[in-house]
Amino acid sequence: MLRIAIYGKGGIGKSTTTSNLSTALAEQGLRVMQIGCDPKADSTRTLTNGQSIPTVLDLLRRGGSLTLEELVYTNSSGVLCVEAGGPTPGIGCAGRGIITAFEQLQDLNAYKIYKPDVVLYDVLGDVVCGGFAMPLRGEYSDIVFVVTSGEMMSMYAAANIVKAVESFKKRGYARFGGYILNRRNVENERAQVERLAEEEGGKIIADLPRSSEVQQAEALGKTVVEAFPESKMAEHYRSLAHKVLEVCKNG
Amino acid sequence: MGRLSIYLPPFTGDYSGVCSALFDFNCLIVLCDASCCTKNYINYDEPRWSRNKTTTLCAQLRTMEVALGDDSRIINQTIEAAQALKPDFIALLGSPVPAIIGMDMKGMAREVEERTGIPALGFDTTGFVNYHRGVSSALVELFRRFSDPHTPKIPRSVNLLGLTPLDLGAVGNADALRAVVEDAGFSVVCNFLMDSDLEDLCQSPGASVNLVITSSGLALAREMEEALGIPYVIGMPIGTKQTQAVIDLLEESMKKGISQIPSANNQEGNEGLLILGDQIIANSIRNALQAMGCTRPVVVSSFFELEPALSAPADIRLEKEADLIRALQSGSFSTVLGDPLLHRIPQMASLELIPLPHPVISGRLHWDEVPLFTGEDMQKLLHRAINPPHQGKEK
Ligand SMILES: Nc1ncnc2c1ncn2[C@@H]1O[C@H](COP(=O)(O)OP(=O)(O)O)[C@@H](O)[C@H]1O
Ligand SMILES: [Mg+2]
Repeated sequence: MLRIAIYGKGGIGKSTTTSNLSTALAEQGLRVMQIGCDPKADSTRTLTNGQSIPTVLDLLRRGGSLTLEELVYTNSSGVLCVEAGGPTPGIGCAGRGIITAFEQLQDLNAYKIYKPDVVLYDVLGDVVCGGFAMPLRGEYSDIVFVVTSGEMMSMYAAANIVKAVESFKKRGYARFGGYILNRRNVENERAQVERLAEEEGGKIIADLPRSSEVQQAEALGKTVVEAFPESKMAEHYRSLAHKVLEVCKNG
Repeated sequence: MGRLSIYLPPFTGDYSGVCSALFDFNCLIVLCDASCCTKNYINYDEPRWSRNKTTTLCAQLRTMEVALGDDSRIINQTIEAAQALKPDFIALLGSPVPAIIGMDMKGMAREVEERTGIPALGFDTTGFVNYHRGVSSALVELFRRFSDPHTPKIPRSVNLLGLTPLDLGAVGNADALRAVVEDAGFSVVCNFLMDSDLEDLCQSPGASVNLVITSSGLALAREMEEALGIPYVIGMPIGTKQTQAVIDLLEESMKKGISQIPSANNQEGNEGLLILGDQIIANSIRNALQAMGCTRPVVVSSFFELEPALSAPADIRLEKEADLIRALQSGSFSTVLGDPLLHRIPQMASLELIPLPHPVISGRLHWDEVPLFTGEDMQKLLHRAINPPHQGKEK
């Protein structure tokens, strides 16, 4: 089982990228589980026809016993979708929410029962409390990728995540796999991110253009790979999938 | 009233479960709390301080460390303490605050181990769950860490799983259980986890069969069955007939290599007996009574784990005190067998209470009165429980 965490600033395109990556990996015949770790709980939205699925915390809040079938939604491409969920805005603790959701999946033996080939955690990366670092731990992930554009705030968040991964090395955490550049078409975008990579270490493993097909697919409640399988953008996501597997394999 | 208990005290939490499981080792325990959890364990949950080997330290978390997520002081002080005390291993435990801020106990343990060369284990204890979870995870972690899977098989040998003073007190139950099993011609490899050392733990994969005597031993039994193919038997030897039944199951399990789980039945009728306690102990008491010819309905209930697979249909999982009160008021029961503090519940007034102290409920108030499960006192208790209160009691 290959366990991958995708981090990045809110709104940068983590969920879009992760969902397309999941679909592209599923096309290759892999069994993929995508776990949204963001209190917004919209990670798998384009995998579930735009519908929201009940989150782990929603189901725990309801009380009583809880089954895996309630937590895990299998979509039309065979991707297993899970949303951790979060507290009511303004109260509670979103980080502890993530931890609790993770513990619940573990308790229910989700990984042993579904036996996914790839687990993708889609994690909000600009919240820096302990709960959001949970997917970085060796118990959960093997490798971390960071989604960033050339915008300052996005690169700032990316640098923080890379630093965290670096400083947790002694603790047997996941290793850093590289940057996924998701373009916002700012000036000198590639060069900006290349400089980030130089300063913080790591490589740019993919360069995704900004594309209107992303929004069109989103409006259909679908991923680009599913809605426009012949498009250039779908090809970009497919080569991202290949690249990710390659980086994971080559230690 | 939701989950508030009006009559019963709060129950022992998971961190005390881990601490008590590690007690017999030359181990350094660092409990990452402000101070109250450590104090709970030391003052209320551990009956064995007179023969202490472990060192239990409180990390004394402070606001800024929590706000900044700074765990470096705890790591450094743990390393200092370890260098002074030279323990065989180190355990870092969480409590509610680390649980909320996501302190990484396992990661911290890895760092401590790397810097000291002493094995270190991290436990994500939270104080949000009961003792049983703690004991259970300690047994599993220690087994994973210190057992040698290549140990040669030891013929006719048994590990006892789930021994904890939190269920059994510190009155000699560990020795007594060992004696029962040895009298039946088995050797005991490891008591998980009272009165055993790392050497016993290391050899534990050599056992031919495991005997699970409380719910806290179940997770390890399942893991050892899956990983090593060692079958298990569930049951605490209580009373002559049930003890023989447990021994027979051990023989059978060893012969066939298949786990043996005794069945659980409630009988129909009035004047029921409600047993409150650890599920496996309570089930064993029920089986002992039924083997002695008890015909009144016997229902097992617990505030702690109640595995559906081990339950009889009428058994009751208690989420909160109010659930217990509802059961007491149901009219189904005339006797309750359980912790002496149950007498505080007004609805107990009209019912007979046969006291069986459970340290996770009444702690030091009654832990010296826990009987030897394999002995005379327990036999007397069974004779008292076999018939409803107003009928002539068996001698
Ligand atoms: N490559 C892209 N081209 C065009 N729009 C994109 C692209 N990537 C993401 N988006 C848009 O950006 C918005 C935020 O993306 P999302 O994946 O939800 O971000 P995050 O999960 O990081 O918060 C979405 O509405 C999405 O349509
Ligand atoms: Mg998102």
